[in-house]
Amino acid sequence: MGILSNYIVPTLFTVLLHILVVFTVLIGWQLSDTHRFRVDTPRYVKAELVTLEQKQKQPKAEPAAPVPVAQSAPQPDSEPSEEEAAAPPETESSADAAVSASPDPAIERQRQLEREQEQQLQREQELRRQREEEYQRHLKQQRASEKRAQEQARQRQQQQALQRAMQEEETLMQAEQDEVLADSYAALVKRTVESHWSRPPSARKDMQVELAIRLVPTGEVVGVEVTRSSGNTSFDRSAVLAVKKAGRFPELKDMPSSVFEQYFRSFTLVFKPEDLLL
Amino acid sequence: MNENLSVVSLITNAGPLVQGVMLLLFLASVASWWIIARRFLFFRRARHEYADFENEFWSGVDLGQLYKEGNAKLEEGRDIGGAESVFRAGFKEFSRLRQQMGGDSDAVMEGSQRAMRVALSREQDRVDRSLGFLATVGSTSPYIGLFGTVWGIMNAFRGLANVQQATLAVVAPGISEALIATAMGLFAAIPAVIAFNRFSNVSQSLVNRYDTFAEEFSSILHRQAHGRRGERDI
Repeated sequence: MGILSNYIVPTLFTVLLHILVVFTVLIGWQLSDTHRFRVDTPRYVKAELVTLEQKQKQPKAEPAAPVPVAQSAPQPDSEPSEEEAAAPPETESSADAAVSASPDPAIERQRQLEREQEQQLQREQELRRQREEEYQRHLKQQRASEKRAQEQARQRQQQQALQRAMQEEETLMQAEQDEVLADSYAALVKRTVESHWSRPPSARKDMQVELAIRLVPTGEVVGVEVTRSSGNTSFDRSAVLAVKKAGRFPELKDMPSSVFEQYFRSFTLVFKPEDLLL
Repeated sequence: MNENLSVVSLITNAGPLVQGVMLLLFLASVASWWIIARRFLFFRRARHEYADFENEFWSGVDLGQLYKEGNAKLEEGRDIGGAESVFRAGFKEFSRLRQQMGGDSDAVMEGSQRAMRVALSREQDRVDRSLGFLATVGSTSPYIGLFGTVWGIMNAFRGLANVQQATLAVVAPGISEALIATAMGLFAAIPAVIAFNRFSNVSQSLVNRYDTFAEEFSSILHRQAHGRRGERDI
């Protein structure tokens, strides 16, 4: 009895307690879990959708290729003129044949002549047919080559559009990267300046002063101006003094010049005493 | 990837070391709660027994009779602890020495007091038993949990280094799973620390009571040894 109560009761108690705790954690976690992730997932999907839209837009721009179709239309018009130009030589040659046949007097000869003429006519007709066929073939070939050219042009255009899209995307990404880089440098500058900042006792929590800092690529400060005053001159002056004390930001030297020109040539810094209680 | 972020999946997806830490902490928690429950029962019984014994002792019952009752209890298989065992050790030694030495009351007193001291220290040992384990769990399991967390976060950030787009969603599951180790460490540590403080307090007071009882009893024995003989039949 003593041993039983000594060992079994504590064991049962311990096991039950742990099972209870595990179940509580599981249920509580699942409840909070569904709650949190229902909020989170759409945000993630949204971000992906934006990139997808960008990619889709550019392929849409490609169908602007119909221009070559319009170009192809005038070309068939020029072909008939070629046909006209080709026809006259045939009539000339038939006239020559008639001249050579005329000196013979007899009927037989006439008949022969007629026959010859007929034959010649037939020959001519055949020739004509052949030429026409040739011409048709030629035309077909031309059309095929034109078509091929058109397709090539379209492909080229598609490729160009794709390249353009890719370039745009790259520049976009580059811009994004630049922005991130600029942000990190801006945070650095802000930290440096704030470490030199000694706030006047009159500083209050809701005060805010905006400074325009002009920088050169070596990171030196060449000018500070108050663009939006907080209304408290000593507070403004302390901010300006902080920037002047900081003097230069040698880290900016490592920055790519394009980023510098875009973001840091003239740089806006907002001073807010966030850690004050009043 | 985000949907199945339950505790189970977090624990099963954790690294082997973090899992080992979690297992260790879970076992520590089980063991410490087991000891807490056992100690709780033990102290409750010890206090009851002490109160009962004291009542019986001061009720004027014959001490030899009390000793015989204890013998009967032992034969039944019940263990005797606390003040009663101190009493039994002192009484046994006293009567034995009394029979052997006869008149030398100083030697009899000294012997019986020594026997009571021995019984008292044995009781102290019994009362303090396995409190050391609670102290160990209470002080080390937060560190063990922290170790698991640090390790897990380390791995999460190492994974972050291989990813092009570093978003919070990449490291968040790793950190979350790592933090479970700290939570478990705290879960094991807090009850252990509370129980340790409480139990060491209780054990201290119990040992004090035994000590007081031993002094009182030795004063009775002293009276018996040096006083008029035969007033109280020992």
